[in-house]
Amino acid sequence: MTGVAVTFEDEITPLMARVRTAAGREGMAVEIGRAAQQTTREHLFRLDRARHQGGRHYYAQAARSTHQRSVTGGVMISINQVGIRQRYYGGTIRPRGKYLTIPASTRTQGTRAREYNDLEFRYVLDPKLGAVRPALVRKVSTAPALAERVKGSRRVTPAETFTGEIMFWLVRKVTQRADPSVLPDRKLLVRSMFAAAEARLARLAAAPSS
Amino acid sequence: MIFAKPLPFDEALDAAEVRSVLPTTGNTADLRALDSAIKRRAMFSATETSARALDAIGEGVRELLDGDNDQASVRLRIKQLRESMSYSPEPGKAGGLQDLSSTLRINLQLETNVATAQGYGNYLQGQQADVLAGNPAQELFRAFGPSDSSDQRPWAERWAQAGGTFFGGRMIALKDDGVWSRLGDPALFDDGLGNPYPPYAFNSGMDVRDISRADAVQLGLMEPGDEVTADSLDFNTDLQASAATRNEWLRSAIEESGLGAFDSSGVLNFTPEGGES
Repeated sequence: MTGVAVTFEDEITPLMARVRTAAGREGMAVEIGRAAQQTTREHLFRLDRARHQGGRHYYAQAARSTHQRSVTGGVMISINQVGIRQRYYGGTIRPRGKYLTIPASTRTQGTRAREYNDLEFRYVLDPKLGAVRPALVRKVSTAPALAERVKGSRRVTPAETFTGEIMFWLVRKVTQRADPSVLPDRKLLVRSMFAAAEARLARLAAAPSS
Repeated sequence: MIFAKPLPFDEALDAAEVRSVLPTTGNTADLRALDSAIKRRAMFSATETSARALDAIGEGVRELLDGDNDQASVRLRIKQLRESMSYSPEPGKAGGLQDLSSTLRINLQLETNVATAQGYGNYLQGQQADVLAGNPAQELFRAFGPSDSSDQRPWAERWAQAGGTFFGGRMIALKDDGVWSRLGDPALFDDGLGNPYPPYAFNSGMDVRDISRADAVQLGLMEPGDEVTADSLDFNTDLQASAATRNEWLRSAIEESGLGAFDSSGVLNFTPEGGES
């Protein structure tokens, strides 16, 4: 599991101390956990709208994977989305084999090189770098891609020629900077939890005693 | 604030676990006729007759829910399975939604199943008594942009058609309001998924957010002392039964509906409209 989870203990201790019974504390934890979960979802949806106009909506998927649990002495918000931990902490990713494949076009974003069976290794000029780099490109004489077969036919005509399309760049490693902005600001989370707790306490105080 | 290892999203995993594979020759229109309670308990896909493929999709869905794998890797595995089964799309259908091996089709299967399970999980957590007391209402909102032009649906019109009320243009209702069931009702909307939680339709970026009691009172949705009834839509009873029992229940429920029958390979064939059942 390469998601990330955050547990709040110290932050909510003063809130829990205001509740006398274990049942009351449990209820309080559930309610403030929900507030933190909702804040986290909103944050991730907002990130998706800002950062992912296309593709598979990575941050929206992360938002929908966000859930909450009461844990001993606190609440936990868990985001069960592959890669979110890597984005938060950053760090270097190394391949299991020789190279990592980096999508070179919007068409190959969110896909695996092995989904295509018409790629070949070449050294290609990267215009952005002004240097030659290893890449996976469409073969000169190509078979249909597993993912992108020629519409209406599985046959490949010999006349198909190399399109010059660079599908993936190949790199030995990738180093990503830590991006704490993938999680909501701690102050915002704590504020939402306090607001939920205050609302609960006010509601209970206003309820007629039995 | 302590960083920890994520915990399984139990409610979402339950929603995936409760599903029995349902191979069928039925198309989208046929499947629309199935009761929502049946659909929530079945892992199916239009014209998908392979239990093995459905198992692979189900396994992929569980991995995605757990955060154990990424969608591209799961999709690749399903494509490789298709290859090993010598699957070939019908002429003219390759690459499209009717091609069971296409990126488009597999993405739709995975994303719909994962989002539906997560939607159920979020819904169930929002139905807990303490959450419901503090947040008795919710708002339908555009959570993220559509992946393509398919979600240019007029959601405000849909909300009105489902009986929803607008509050300054916002689509808000109590959590026990019938509008939430109607939003995804396939009888009202062809693309409806039949659930009272998001996604209400295929490829939809609409979602819900909690609305507090104070705001619900202020909007006139309820009086301060009013309570909202928790929905009893959970899979606890189902999950206490064995997988074989759940599968048997599913088959019986479908056969009793008269919509179709299972052949000797366990594939559901829908009865042609007007034909004998």
